[in-house]
Amino acid sequence: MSRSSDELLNAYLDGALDAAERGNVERDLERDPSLAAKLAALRDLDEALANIASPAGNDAAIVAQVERTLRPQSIPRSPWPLILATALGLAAGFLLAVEFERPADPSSLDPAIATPHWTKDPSACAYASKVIGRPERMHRNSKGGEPIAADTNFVAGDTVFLAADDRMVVDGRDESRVYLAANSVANWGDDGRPALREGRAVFASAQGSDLTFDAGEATLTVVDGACAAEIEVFQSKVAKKIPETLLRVVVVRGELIVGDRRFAAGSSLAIADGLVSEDQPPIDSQWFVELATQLSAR
Amino acid sequence: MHDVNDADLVERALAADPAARESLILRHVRRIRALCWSRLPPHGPIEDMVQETFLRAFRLLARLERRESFGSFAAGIAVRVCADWRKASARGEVALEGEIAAAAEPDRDAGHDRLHAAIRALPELYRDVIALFYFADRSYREIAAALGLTESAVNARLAKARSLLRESLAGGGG
Repeated sequence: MSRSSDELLNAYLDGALDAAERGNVERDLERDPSLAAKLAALRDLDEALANIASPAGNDAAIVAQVERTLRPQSIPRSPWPLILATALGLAAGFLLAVEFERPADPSSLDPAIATPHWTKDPSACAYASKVIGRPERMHRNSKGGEPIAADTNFVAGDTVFLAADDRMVVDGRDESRVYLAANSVANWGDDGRPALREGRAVFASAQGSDLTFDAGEATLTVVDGACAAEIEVFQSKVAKKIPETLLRVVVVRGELIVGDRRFAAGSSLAIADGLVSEDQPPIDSQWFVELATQLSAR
Repeated sequence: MHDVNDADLVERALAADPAARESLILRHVRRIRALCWSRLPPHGPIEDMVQETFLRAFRLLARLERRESFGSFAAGIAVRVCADWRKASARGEVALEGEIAAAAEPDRDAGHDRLHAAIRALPELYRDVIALFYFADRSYREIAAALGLTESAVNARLAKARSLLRESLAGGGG
């Protein structure tokens, strides 16, 4: 028998031995008082451990919260639309910053929403970027839905509304090429790069432009093509504490490289926890492809 | 529901059946809670991590090839969820929350303080089996499945964990 006598004694205490093993241990216990004393000490410890209260929890609340979060038709807690769509390009002329409520089907997508012009109708779009953690400066933009002066400084806690041709400067750097706007988003990661911490967004990159975005430990790089990605950050209470990101990506044109894997046009994939998997298919993929095609065709 | 196995429930959960999700949660929640208790510091947000574990598990469910292995799949996610939280905590991105902690931490009367401290001082691999055994299963087989171990390994770890606890308590450690 490969188990030590200590392990056998523990297994005996735990009722994890078969009849033959149990018989052997009981014979040893009768013969060896020191073994019997050891078992008695183990029993005392076992009783003490068994009397420790288990971590308190509310199973029903867990079930309810999980269902509330997973149910696709659930209503967001905040007044902001759940689905956000944002992309800002620079020199390539691809500048866009809009948010969408998720349409019920592709045909319900209002072309006016998808066009990269500035609209202030919050029922159609919301343009919310809550500045968290560090000041930002923006050019030609608006604050609270109203036009504001150029070079306005924003501070943590401000809500900023981005227009399609806004530019954003942070610490003297023009950072408007890739700017993800979402309600309650911590826009800047530890390394100063854009990072979506909560909310949902859609972004796209124009052909020829590159786009990098950190999703957890994954970095997307678009090479010679257009890519669109729906970024979903879990909307649970915990999402405020853990920058857990799930990306659902549709490659519209060209090629998408994630780590050492390459995805051709037409591919769809999901990324979470730095892991990549073929996604089959991503949520609302048809709508998503149509939107991405509209965006990238401009 | 006893006749339904995890594989069946996973299939139904993949078809967005809320009742199947609920059954999976209720079958595994004590184990996940025990594991989170083990992997988080005292006053860590156990219930939040349990919730996050199941959310991730259902969102990533399509990746689960062996449908009957939902328990170990969820346990693996719980370990990652807690590790993420600890990393975020170390970076100062999260804070312990008193209300959550008060609800989630086991009762700690004076007589149990030393034992709690001794358990907390155990290396993680031993603390896991103690938590799973005493807070959830009392079954080598279930613990082995959750942690991806053999039953013999669970037996060995439990024996070692108890030995360390006895030494710690006898020496006034913890």
